[in-house]
Amino acid sequence: MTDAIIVKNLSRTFRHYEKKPGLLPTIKSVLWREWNQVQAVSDISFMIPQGSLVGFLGPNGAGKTTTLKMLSGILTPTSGTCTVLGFTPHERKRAFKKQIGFVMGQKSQLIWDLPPTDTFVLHRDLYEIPRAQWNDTVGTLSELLRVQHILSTPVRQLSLGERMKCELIASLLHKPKVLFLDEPTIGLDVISQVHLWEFLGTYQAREKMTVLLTSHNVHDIANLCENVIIVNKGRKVFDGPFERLIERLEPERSGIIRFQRSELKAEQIQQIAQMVKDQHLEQIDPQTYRIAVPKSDLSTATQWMLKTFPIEELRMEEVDLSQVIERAFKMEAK
Amino acid sequence: MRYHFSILRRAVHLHLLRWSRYRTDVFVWIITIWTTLGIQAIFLSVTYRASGGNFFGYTGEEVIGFFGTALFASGVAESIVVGVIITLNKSAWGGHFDYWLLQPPHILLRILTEEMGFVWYWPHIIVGSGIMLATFPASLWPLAFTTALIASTIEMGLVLLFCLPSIRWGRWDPYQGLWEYFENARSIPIGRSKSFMLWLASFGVLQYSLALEVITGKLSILMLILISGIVWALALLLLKVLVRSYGSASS
Repeated sequence: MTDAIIVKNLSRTFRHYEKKPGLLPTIKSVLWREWNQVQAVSDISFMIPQGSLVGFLGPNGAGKTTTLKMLSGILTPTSGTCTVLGFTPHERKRAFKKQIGFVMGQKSQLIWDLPPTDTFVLHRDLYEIPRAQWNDTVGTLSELLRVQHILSTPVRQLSLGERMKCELIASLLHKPKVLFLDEPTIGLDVISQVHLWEFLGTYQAREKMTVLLTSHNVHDIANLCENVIIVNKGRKVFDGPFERLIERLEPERSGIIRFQRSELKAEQIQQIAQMVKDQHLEQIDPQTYRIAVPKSDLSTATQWMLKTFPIEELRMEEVDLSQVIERAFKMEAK
Repeated sequence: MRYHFSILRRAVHLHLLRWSRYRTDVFVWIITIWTTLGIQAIFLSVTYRASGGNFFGYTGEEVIGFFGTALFASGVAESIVVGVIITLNKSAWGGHFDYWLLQPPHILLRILTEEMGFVWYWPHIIVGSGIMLATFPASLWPLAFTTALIASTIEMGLVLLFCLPSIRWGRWDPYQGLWEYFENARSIPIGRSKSFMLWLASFGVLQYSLALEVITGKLSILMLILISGIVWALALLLLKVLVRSYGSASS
């Protein structure tokens, strides 16, 4: 499989000036300014194979949006290189622009005072989409996203969820090979989020489109993306399958064990007390304990427990993805 | 070329859609434009009488012709670049600029597509053309209109030169700032303080005086073309620099 996106040592620095409040500093700042450098993205490298859906995660200010903007060609890198579909994005060649799409959760490309259809028609001309293909795509996408009924309503009268679905349609009309999604579910309610992710999963699998998406909803990323890239303070801290991230940051699996207390023999009670002492078990109430074992030992440990003790209930807990991500965000680049 | 025309045609179509949807705004605007034209005609009449039909060495017809040329050329220029003036600043703040950079057309064409000014400025073009036809002899009509069109390209270039830096380096406050001052001064020449005088003194005089010089045979039309070429070269260079260094990373 060839790589749709290749990023090598990509960096982007911004500079901004600082001014103290007051009239005198304002006048002074016109003539003499104190500039600050901000390293938004620092020496990031990764590759994304064609047709894959990759999550791009990081805390606020980690450099996600800046990276997406460089990959789409809006921003020029300060140093390093990136190629998308064999093009250098910031050269902004027309052939390149026709093959990418970008949805920004906090920005709109729809014409505010006209219905979404008018923006779609404008995009038909901008991207030179054949009329038959345009009709077909608008029909299919609006049906999949359940927005047929609002296509004639001015954008300013749509809800945020409806608007975002139309933004997505506008970005997909020309059937891009690479789609960048920057927090497309920001501000959406749970149902709208589910609709959007369901649609994205189905559409991406059908069209074999390469998707790079950022979201603060970890569960959605976990459900949708096999691979994730995590950035923090402008640096890449993880790149690989989500499972591997979980293995690395949450190597233990925990579960709840409820013993049949009346059936426990003295020697077994002693054994349990020893396990608590050794921190293999954590007591919750007189007959309930939490067990935590490495994932590799999970099968052996549960079998041994079931064989050795009279057990009323044994229930394994789901990995807390939010905690995994919280830890991931604290990771430092090597 | 066919691609560019199809985009412009779509822009006009979208503009008419907006026009039909927000009729009241359009009517109010057109009344304002006709009123300002009327006030300008009174101003011209007073100037003409005060100068006794001789204004800086030009005859009365030539002075009125100058007014018609300025009106026509200004209408053409504003019809095309008013979108730039209105749109650039708010697009940089609102995020549209990011999207436009991603779309296939050249950024300038994309900006023009967003807001065509013809809907607002057709009275300038019609009245200006009428005045030119009435005051200049028929033999001068082709030259007069050609010259006015070239002069209008100078105005477009100048407006671009003045407005583009505000996005990249200035980012004037959309509610108060130099950019808006220019916009006000250009769009509604009279009615807002003494902006008509500013208009005459700053933008209008240069290209429309030169146009009058060409029409009256005192200057070669090549000089006007040269100035237009220089202004546009600078404007396009500035646009290139702007797009290249456009650096907003805010989400």
